[in-house]
Amino acid sequence: MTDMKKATASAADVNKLAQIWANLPGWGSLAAVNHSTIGLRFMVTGMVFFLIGGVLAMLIRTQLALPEQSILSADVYGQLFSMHGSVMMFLFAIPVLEGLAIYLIPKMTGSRDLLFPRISALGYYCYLFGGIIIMFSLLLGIAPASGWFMYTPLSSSEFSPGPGSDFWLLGITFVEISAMAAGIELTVSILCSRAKGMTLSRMPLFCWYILVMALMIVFGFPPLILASILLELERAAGMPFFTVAAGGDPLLWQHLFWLFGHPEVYIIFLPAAGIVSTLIPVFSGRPIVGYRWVVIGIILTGFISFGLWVHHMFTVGIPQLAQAFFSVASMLVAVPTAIQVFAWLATLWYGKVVFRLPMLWICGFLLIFVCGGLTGVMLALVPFNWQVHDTHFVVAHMHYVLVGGMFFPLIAGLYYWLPLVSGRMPSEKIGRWGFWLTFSGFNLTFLLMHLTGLLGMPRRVYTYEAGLGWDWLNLLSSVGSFIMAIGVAMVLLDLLLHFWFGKRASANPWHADTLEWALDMPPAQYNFASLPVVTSRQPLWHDPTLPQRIAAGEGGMTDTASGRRENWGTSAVGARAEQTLHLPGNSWWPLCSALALAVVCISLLCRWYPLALLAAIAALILLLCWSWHNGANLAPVASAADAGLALPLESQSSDGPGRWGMVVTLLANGALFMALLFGWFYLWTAAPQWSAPAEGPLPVTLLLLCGALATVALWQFNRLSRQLADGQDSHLQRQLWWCVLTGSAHFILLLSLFIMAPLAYTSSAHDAVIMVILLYLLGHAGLVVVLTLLQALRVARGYVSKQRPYEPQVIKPLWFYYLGVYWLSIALFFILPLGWGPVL
Amino acid sequence: MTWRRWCEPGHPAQLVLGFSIWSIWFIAMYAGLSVVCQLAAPAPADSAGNWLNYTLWGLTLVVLALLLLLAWRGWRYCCSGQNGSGTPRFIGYVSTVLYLMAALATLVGGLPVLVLPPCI
Amino acid sequence: MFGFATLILLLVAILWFYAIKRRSDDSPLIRPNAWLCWGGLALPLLSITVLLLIGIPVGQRMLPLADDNALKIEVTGHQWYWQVYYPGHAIELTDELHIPVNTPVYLQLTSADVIHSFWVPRLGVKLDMLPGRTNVLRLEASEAGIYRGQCAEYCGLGHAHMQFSVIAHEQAAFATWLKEHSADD
Repeated sequence: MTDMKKATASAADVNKLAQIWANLPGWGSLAAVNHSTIGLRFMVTGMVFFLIGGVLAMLIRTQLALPEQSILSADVYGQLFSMHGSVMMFLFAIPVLEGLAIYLIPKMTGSRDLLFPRISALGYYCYLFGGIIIMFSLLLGIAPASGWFMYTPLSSSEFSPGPGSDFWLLGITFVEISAMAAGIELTVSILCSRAKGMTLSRMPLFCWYILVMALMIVFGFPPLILASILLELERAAGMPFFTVAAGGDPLLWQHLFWLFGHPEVYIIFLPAAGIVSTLIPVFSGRPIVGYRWVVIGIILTGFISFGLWVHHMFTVGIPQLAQAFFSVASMLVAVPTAIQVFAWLATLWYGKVVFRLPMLWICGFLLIFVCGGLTGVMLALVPFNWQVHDTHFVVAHMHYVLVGGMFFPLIAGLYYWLPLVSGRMPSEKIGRWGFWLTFSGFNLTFLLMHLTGLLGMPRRVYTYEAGLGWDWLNLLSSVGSFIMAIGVAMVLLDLLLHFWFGKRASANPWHADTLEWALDMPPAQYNFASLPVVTSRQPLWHDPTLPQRIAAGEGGMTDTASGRRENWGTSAVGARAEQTLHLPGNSWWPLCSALALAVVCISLLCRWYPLALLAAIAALILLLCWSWHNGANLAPVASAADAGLALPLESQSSDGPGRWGMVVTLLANGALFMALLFGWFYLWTAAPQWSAPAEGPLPVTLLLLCGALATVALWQFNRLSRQLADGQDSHLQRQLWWCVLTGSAHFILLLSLFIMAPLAYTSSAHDAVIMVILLYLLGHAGLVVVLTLLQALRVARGYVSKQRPYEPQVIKPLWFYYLGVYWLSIALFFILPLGWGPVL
Repeated sequence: MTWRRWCEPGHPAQLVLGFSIWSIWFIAMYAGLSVVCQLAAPAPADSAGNWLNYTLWGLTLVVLALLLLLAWRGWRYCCSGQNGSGTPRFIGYVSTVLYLMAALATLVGGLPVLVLPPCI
Repeated sequence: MFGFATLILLLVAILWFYAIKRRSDDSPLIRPNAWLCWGGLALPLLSITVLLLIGIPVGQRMLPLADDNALKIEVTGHQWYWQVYYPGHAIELTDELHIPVNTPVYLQLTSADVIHSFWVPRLGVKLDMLPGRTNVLRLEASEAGIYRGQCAEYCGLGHAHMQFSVIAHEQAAFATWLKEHSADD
């Protein structure tokens, strides 16, 4: 293959490409933004956290092996099980799968990088720093000890006075920046930069899975972020959102937490199922049976999983009828899973199966996951749930679903894609040993735990009395967990050793059908020497010469004259090439911004508020500077025709990935707002001691006036951006300044209303919520005005003009969003209560 | 007009529309139930035969009818043949099944309203 | 329920391994769509229907429907003990709950500090105790004896030791017990 490449493609072109896409040498690699680099960093870091989480689990099992042991105190045990759950969920499962997606998605969709490379780097650093901060609490022995679910009031400042809860709330929120970043970036990248001809109906199933997972992150994480912010505000500033006496309600935390927490399970499961759906057709040697049905199943899972959060709360005393809705939804989620399982089965049935190591893990996955799914359906049944809720039965179920549904496919996937990363094959022998040890150890541990739970052993007890019939079960579970640990160690050793001792892999060693196997092994930083054109769902099976033709430069984007990282921007459905995208290269902004955010996080933890404020301002300035150097455009780029491009640049059109990114971000933001709205109505109707003042805290007429100002500003902005799209820029800069002026007037009026408002935010949940919504509005008003101001400056520098009308089109959705949210808030937080107050 | 294109059976927005309707129905049922139970709970003695349950059941039927109508429209689009084989047809097929599934989820989710009393 | 679940698990597993082992044939007996329709749709929907038909009536029977004659007992969770109070009899107990057999008892559960959960494994009931709210639980024992109870929601350091006993008396014995202890006050 390499010979062929040398013969046909000009070596100079490939060298130039490699030079453009290379990371900086030495310490400079900290400025790397390339998706291969970032993806691998995510996965390696995730595996390190996995080992830490595993050690915590071993300690837990050691303590529980025998009754009445005192190896760990109740306090240490509390820290360990809380950290085990948090580490495995937030620092291992999600980041590792994100890393895998970040690494694979561009390769599978035939593009050279993700569309917002610097965002992936920012996400990685936030994850790394957040993880280190959380781990530090464990080293100091002040880790969070209220469970990974952090139920308040146990996690409140009254019952957990130490900094443990703060570590969780701030650290996990910091880590979640990376999940949100990955969610937004993957959504937009899958939709906007696929290979030419890779229409929605030809997209590899893995991409469908990741697309839905990414969208679920976009909608699922904001409720948790909101809940964490509210609880931290309660702990640090005494705003009583969850305190009954002041009109709050601890159940609100549970609602918000599980509103995130259940979709979270599917956020983890979907990519893993995507691995299964990718591997099974390859090892069966035929396309998957029922592609359309699997897509249906994926979308179904994405929606239904948001309708079952209350099944974690069946024992809190919710009306039975309401429980029934969630019970039914919880059972319905079995349908998409069954569709997928039978699609896999049928694929195996009709294919000729080659049984290699990854298939072994897939089979292990199937057995364990189906078992976990069946106990899951049982748990959805309300009366049964009442009996086993919070017992070891649930612990067993959850591990069957998560280890079976995520860890087993993940290892299968790692073995499968390993040759791509290293160019070497893993050893079948150690791999098989590792599998059987893990599989039998796992089942010994957790199959028996079902029984322990049915016999009445509750969760989260650090010790138990002898003679309750749990002794031998617990001992065997502990033995099993150690067998499993040996198995996992063996697998990791195998993965590590193969980098030195593995046999050289041949090209496309598994005879796979997807585009990532058309690359060199290991792949070049730019992935594709020329961008491929796809004509079927199985490009490599349909056209076995595709890898050679890609290497020979017969695809698109072979020209390296611009000296920039280039990629196609394609239409979302039909995958027609529409734009030339200039992607940013190595950058220090992500690292600097993440460092500033880490300082914010640490100073909040230590309660050095002036420093936190300074660092927050620094972070904001850094992010704005980053936005100034957007794209690769350090200076205005010449027009497409001048640069000899067939397709227009993103900055020369009025729609593009940046705008999509803005819209998806606003969807996430909207989810956060909806969660806040839910909290408001929830407290209003359900908090036991809710009290609202007879009169609203702010004069409604002034709020209306304030809104009118914002509406005028939006109208100005909308008009100028529409004129710009139509090719007029005669008074652009003046119009922008006017818009900034009106927007600032709005901001100042709102700010003075906020300062003058008599809010008793430490003694009334009502006033505390009002305070939060006002801060939310103020933050957005400030942001949108500053961005408009920057636009005015950019017009002056020539970055925005009628030839480059793009940037105002990106900011326009933010203006519309802000105005929508403003009026909605005024109506629901200030005007509606006026009419509603007397009723309650 | 963009929104009109969004309503066509071959548009990708159709993939999420069916279950978006289901989500809104789901929220309306849960929120309606909770709010009414706080403000004006019907007497528990009536069991399932009270105005609240009837209203919720009515809502379920309306949403069900809407989803079935949309599914029927999608089905006709798939059958009409002149839409070729490509992506629009794929989207038409997938969204039709999703509408049917959403209708089913609505129906099954609504059934407990006929059996259980609302507020206990 | 467990038998049915095991059956499905075995069915899927056997099909799966047979599918891997078998040689593919050119004239398949089963059409691809049949797999998805029967396995992917019919099987789960049927199972769900059966489960709900059994489950919802069971849940309904466990409802604490209004009953003025029932014995009411207030139980309050504390870190880390249970306070039991018999209204009308002025009896206060700690970590101990006396009830008559074959009589539904309505427990009014609440908490004085963090969230606890009232659970008697052998009587098959569990309900959370939340600060600021009162949840009503219907408890009924069919045999006299001592039942072990346990807090099921993690509530801090003493969670593992937050236990109590339910002592179910024959009805006559319970009446005597009640009389004796109310007389004390």
